[in-house]
Amino acid sequence: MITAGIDVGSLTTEAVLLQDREILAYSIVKTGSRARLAAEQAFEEVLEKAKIKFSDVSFVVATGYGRMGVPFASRQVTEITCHGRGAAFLSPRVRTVIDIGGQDSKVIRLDEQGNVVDFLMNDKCAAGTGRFLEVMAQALELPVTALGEAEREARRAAEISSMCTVFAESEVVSLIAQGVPRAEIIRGLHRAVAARTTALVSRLGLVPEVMMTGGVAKNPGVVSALSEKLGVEIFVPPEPQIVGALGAALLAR
Amino acid sequence: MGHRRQGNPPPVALIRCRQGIPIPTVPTSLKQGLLLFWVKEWGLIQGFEEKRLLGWVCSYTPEEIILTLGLTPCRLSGTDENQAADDYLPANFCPFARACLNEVLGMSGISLAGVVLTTSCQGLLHLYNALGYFSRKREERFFVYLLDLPRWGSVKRAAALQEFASSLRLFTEELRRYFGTEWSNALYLENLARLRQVRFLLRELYRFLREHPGRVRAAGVLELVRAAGRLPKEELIPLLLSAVRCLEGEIPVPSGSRAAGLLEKLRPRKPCAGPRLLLVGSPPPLSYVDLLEELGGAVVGDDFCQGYRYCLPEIEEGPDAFLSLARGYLERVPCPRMLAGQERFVYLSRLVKEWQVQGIIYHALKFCDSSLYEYTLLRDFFSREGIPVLYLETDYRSGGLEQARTRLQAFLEVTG
Ligand code: SF4
Repeated sequence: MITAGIDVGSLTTEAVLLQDREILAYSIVKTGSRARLAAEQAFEEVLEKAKIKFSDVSFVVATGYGRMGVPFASRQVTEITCHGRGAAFLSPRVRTVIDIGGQDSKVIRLDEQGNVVDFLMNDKCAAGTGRFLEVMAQALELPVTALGEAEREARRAAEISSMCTVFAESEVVSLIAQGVPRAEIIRGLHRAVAARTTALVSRLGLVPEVMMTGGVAKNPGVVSALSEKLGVEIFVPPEPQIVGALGAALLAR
Repeated sequence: MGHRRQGNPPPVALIRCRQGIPIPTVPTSLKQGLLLFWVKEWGLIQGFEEKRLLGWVCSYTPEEIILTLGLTPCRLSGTDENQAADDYLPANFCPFARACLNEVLGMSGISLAGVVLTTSCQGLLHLYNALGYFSRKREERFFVYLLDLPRWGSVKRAAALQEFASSLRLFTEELRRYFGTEWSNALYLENLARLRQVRFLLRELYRFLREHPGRVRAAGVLELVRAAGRLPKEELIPLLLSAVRCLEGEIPVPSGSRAAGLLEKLRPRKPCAGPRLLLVGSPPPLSYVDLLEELGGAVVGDDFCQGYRYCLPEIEEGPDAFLSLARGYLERVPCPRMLAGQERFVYLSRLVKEWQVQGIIYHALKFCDSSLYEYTLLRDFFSREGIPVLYLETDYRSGGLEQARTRLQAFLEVTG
């Protein structure tokens, strides 16, 4: 049986095809302004990659903030449950999942069976999320994907005191004006994200092992700052962005 | 004016602000204000404007006293239809107090004779301050009173009881002096009986809710409790009675009557067979309660001061009315502000067992210290009991509903 999971996030949309607990293919596209179009595009792309037809897919589950707008999904499940399921599938020893997506961040606690037992969400503001890094990258005139690499030369971290996206941006602008090396500013930003995330994690309580998912997990600078701050190793799956869609595909039946 | 036909919208004159009263903004601010809503909907306007309405907020305010002194208690539940509170209270302040202030300022055309507040929390204290300021600015007299509410902690309860009894006595004295009415024991007993009936009928409604979740709209029940604190009791009782009997299937739904309208409010929007939920914390925006049911959660009860706790005081007749009132109100399960140790949690965990609750939604208003302190303790307590608790924070408005959707739905997935 082939199932599909589609995760319509605020910035990107992912689709995963699964056959007998094997990933057949996955796709990642930009969400843009229409959730439905993004879902269709991601789905078409993934079908093409796996060289199968829509009719070969038995079930589709939609997740993510745009889950209500996927007309061909037979069920909607929240990204909390899906990330939990996906993470447990990738590594059964995971107890804490930290997901930092485009516009929110969440911490999920799993039990031995991989069921979600508790979660916390920051869905109120963009501070400490992918959006935060994107705005900062713009201020630094870099693509957001280059932040991790660009941090490498830093010898220390610049002090970023504000966690608010708007205020932090003006702090960054003034640091640039002061001539602080870009790499140090970036390290400072990564630490700021880590501090914010640590606060969320400690509210739920840290239980290893820890997995990080979502687009921001692709930034090694954030992962290492977070791992240092939490004092634990953080496991990042090969493609952290598709964990939600993977969970959805696992739940599709 | 008292002979106007029931059901008529209030005349413009009623909305028009009187000279000397600042702000009562635009009439639209009144369109959805709960008071006028109920007044219009149920046609209870009759004689409303001659009756002197006394606004009240905290569930430790004895309506028995207000009624006995010939005033009509009018519970405030706040509105964001106007933003008149901006002139008095900062934006990062208890949104409930702000909403209540909006309501009072927007309502001043409807002969609200005053407001009584309690020393419950920062929010209400500053609401009192703001209203005091407001009343000084007005030409017309406006009664603003602060009722001293002692702590009902785990020690010194006898002293707290005496203290509350004497602050109720003072309150009565002040009302008498200000409004020139007299205390009558016969009237007091009559009101005692009326309120007992109202509370009993509301508890019946709650019983129906937990026995048949999904057959009555939880937000409708909450709306009704809120309204119960402001409607003339003698009109409310028969209304509630027929609503309860209709729900129980004892009598058919009377068509076109007020009871029919009320039942319409209570009609569920969607059958919900999901996990059984208990709502705890500060009064939530009702749209969130509807959303919970829309997502399939079965709300089986609450612990709000504007909800189930309103229906709980049991007042004995006793020789000293004030002592009986003090005892009745204080001995009801305490509000979070009382910091009564484990007592609340023991009570809540009994509810959890008796009502077969599978999950607790803890709603806190932004900037509310009482709920923030209580939430962490409650969470620890129930995590030991194996009952999941979801924290939800709002600013007493319906905004942010879509973000809450994911949180609530995920919680239902976890508990379900
Ligand atoms: S929360 Fe407690 S103290 Fe505050 S208004 Fe309600 S009953 Fe009164």
